[in-house]
Amino acid sequence: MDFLKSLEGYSEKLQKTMIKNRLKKLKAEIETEVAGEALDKLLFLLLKAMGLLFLVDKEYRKNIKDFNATYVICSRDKKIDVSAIFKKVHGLFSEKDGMEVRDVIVENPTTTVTFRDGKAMAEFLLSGNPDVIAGMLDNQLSVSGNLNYLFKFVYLLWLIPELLGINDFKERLSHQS
Amino acid sequence: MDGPGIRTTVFFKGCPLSCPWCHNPESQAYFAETLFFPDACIRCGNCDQGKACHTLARRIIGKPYPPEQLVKILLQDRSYYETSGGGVTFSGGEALGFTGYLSRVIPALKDEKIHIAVQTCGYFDYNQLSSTILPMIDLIYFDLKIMDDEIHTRLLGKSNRIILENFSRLLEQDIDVRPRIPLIPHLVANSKNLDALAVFLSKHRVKQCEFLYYNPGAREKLIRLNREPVDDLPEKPVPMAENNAWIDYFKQKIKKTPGRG
Amino acid sequence: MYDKIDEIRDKLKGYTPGNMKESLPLLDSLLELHHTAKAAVDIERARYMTAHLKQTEDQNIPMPVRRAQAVSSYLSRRKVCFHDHNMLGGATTGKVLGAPLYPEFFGLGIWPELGNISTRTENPQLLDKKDADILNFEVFPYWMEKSISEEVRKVDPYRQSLLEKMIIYTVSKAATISHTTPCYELVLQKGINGILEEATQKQAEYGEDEEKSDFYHSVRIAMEGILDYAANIAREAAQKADQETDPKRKENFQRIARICEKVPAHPAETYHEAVNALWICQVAVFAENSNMAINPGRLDQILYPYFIREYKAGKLSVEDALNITGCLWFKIADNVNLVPEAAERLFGGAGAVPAVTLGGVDRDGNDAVNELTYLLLKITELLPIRDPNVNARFHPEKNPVAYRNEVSRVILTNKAIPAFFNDVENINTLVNQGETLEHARDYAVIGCVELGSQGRDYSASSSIFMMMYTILYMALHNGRTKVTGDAPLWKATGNPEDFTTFEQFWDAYGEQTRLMAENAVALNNTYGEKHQEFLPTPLLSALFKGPMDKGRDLIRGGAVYNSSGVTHIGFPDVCDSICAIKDICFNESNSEMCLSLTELVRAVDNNFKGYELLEAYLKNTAPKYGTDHPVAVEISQRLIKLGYEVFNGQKNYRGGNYRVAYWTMTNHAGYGSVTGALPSGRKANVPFSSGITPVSQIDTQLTASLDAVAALNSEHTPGAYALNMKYSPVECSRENVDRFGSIVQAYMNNGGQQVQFNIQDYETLTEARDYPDRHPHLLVRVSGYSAYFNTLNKAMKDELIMRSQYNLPSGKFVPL
Repeated sequence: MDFLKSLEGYSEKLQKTMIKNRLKKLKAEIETEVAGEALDKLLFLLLKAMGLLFLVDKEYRKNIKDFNATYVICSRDKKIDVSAIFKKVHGLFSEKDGMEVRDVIVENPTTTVTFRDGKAMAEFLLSGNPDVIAGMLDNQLSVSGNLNYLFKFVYLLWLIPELLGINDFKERLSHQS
Repeated sequence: MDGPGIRTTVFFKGCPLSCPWCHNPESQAYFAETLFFPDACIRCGNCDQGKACHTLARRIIGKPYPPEQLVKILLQDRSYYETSGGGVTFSGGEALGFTGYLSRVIPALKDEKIHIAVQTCGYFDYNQLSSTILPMIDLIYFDLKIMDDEIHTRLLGKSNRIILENFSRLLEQDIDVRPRIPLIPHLVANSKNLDALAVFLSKHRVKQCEFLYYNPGAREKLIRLNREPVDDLPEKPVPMAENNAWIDYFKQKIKKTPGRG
Repeated sequence: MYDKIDEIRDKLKGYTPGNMKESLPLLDSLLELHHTAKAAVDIERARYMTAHLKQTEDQNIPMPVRRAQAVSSYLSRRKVCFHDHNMLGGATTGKVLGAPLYPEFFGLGIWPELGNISTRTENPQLLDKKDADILNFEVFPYWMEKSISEEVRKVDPYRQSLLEKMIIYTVSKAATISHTTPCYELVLQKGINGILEEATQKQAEYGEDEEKSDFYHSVRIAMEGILDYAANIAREAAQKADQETDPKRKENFQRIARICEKVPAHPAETYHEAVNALWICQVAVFAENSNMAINPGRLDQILYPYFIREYKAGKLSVEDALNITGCLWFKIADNVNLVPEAAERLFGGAGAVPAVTLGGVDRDGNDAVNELTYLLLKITELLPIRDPNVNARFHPEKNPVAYRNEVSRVILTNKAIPAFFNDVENINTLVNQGETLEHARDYAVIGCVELGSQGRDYSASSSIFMMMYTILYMALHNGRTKVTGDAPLWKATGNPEDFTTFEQFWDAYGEQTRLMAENAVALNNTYGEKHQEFLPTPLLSALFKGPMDKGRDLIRGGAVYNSSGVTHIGFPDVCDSICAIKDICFNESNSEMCLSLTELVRAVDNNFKGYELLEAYLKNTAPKYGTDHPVAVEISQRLIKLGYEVFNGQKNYRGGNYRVAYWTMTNHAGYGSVTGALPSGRKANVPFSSGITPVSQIDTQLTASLDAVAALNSEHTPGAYALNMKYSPVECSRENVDRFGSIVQAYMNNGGQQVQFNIQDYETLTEARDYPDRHPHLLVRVSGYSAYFNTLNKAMKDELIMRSQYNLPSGKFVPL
């Protein structure tokens, strides 16, 4: 969380502006990633954005009021290794509900999702028609742990593009797959 | 129309007539034939080696059944005959050209009280029939086609004399005989021929008659049998209105023709 | 004894689908509304239930009581709506066509879709932002650790994870407590007040016994909920009546108010009261338990006394009875299941499948076809709607041919319903399961096709789904599956090269069947125990025979009979596969096609690429179930016997049997579309055949196909099966009707248990798939229930098209 560290010492207002600027940059990066082929970094970028949105968007933050959970999302080709830890985090001068992204696999997650590769991940989490069952039967993905947490997580992810102002996100992505 | 209720129909292969419109042309020859469907062929080469075809490309028409085996198969559906008042129908080809064989099948069925129907073109050996299985037959569909013997002989390959005689003789028996007329455009369904048929039936005091419609599906079968379809028969079914008009015509005619009393 | 049959049949002749607009304008307008209604998610129950459970979280209230309170709080507080001019009060949800959400089961599965479930392409279900927020913020968070699957995961994560692989077995207790037929007669006779009194008395009587006392207490609370609900309907209807200016509508509201003031609290006296009382109880059951296959049962028997008394007294005309019954049909059809998009592929298009059963024999074995039977058949003819799932029992020796033919005529007319059930075989197989003869004779159809003595058998008939494809895959791959890695899942039973005889292979198949059964049973029983812990069902228990006597909830074994059901997906395809293995791998006299099992498995795993001749042989020459080929006859019967033996020794968590069945809803198409090739010659991703139906497009005849099914020993299929037949459309002439009925009867005489029909041809169904607008309300039989063709997923549509079509007059197979 180098970026958050770099905010230390600034006023709250300035911190907010810097986060919003950072989100704009992330938006551009996500759009580039979606236009590309591999999609390996997409989830990581979305989670980054998610973490920051929790800091600045009160409505979005309401979704994770007192929410504690750890997700591990990885791919069998080892190109994706992401953990998302929902907990109280320190940001903008106070303890708030938030989420921390790590590019490593943490232990004892609530739910683990393993994808074949980045494309399988993108299709499952974000496309307009996530064919979970076909994915599972083709061995494109496997899930272990509490499914309800996964459902919630996917819901939170689906809100991001709209909050970032990315139009037709799903359409763009579905052109990919 | 194969008879009342649920029935099993046995098609014999081989017919003394050669009606150009026959809707079962694969049953005319007295030997097994192959229908060929080139689209289904996968060029496996089985046929070149004299082995069976497992695709649907070469379908063999005609299979010998020993009489006992046929009886067994026919009795499999007995519960259906019983609930519906159905039975077995022998058709063809010309079923009554096989009285020897039928003599080993029909009695076994009659022992089980199965209703027996036969569809015939009328060209058969009456004496042979009457001395064997005739008393066991419950219902006969008897096809009448062309009354002019010269045309009949030319088109169908045989004179109609035996056919008309057989029809007359069957009527004298205590059997349900139902004449049928296939409404083949021009060849059968023309006023001159239908007039003659009406006269013939009236002479025998037959006022009821069933009709069959021309079935163009036979053209495709002929091609698959590597035979030439007849040029002057239409490629499409005859409109029902046209069929009905001929039926009305015939019915009027037969009504007006006095029967011989 | 039924001396008005001729008179009533004669009157019924005047009503046809063509003249409904004039003859039954109310039903005609309700049909229009039914067809235009859009499914909407209903969150009311989830909201009130959750709020109550949250509120009582730490109060140490026994679970039966607490859950009864939660159900009751919903029933007392829920909105009362009148969406149309239906003559009955009460509705499953607050929506015209509602999909109630059950958070204790799979409700949270729609969480990812909260933003777009209204606009998704497959069967959208409307949900507004306000309700979505309530779910997101209030309802779902409470259930994250508590939904029943998560409770099970805490104790058996391994078997739960296998369930989530979807392709091994499934256990529907994750989604529902249902699949049974309540005893609504109790309510009609005693009134809810009567049951309430009994519960009060017994609670006092068994004060010392905590379990019993809690049970009766919970029943009381549940019954009070029903009374509140009925009273609210009455009050609301009276208010509406006051505001209404149209005299006819005013009268309708007044009548509803009057009726709901009286029933179900008190015993019913009139036909209208009986129907409305029954409906309110059905709604109440859905408040407690999910809206799947809760069956009204034998309506022509339950409602008969009310109908005939009034009819004979001249107080109820045939037209009145048709209107009231038709209104019940629309009420029964007022709900659908909530289906997350991801599940559409496997389950899309299903209704809630409440089954109505007609005809057959009565408890003494006499002909039970009465005047009302014909009236209900007429409604079935006039209203070809998805629910209820109407089934006609037929006893070939006891029921008249006129009845058989009337059912046949209705099927030929509406092209899909009802289904036919054979009383002789079905009663026999239930007696073999331990039901008394009298109880077995009083069976009702459950959901799709399952059987159970109505009001006495808590049958949970959809408990387990066995994936026969995977059993065969494991038997051919040393116990491995495609979704559980490289090690054998349960046991290494040998690679193909290890089998030197067919029997060795068969033993491996049998062993994998047994292991799958044991694991599925273990998981199902764990689910059952969790249901007992968290989801008591006092309301349903009170409407049942047994629990009130025993002082024990249904899910604790309170019912007279306590079976569970197991169904199988892929029987016909797996049967043909085993036939093929026997025919070409272990048959030295086969000179046409001889192959080692190893080679065959290789060909199958390569989806027959490079094995075209083999594929052709398998499709066109190898023995097939549905013909009289001796290998197919032998294997089909052995396979059915194996399924029975494997489950027959198992006991469920209520001490009851596992009843084996073969029905598949839409699963066969969904699973077929995502699985690999089979030794039958079926290529990868092709739908499996439905239920017990011989594989589509095999070269056979109608009677041979029926005979193959009829030859299966029905004692081995006590949960019954779905046989789907398709006839080319024919004129509904007397001759065709009789032929239709005769075929069914012969099939039954040969031992067939069940059969249902689609009267459709390939062309119409293909057109309906390609141009949905041309056939907007096309009703089809899927595999045990009816569905609107347009709501089915593509695999299911393809499967329906592909089904073998037979010519009714000739019995000939019409190839696609």
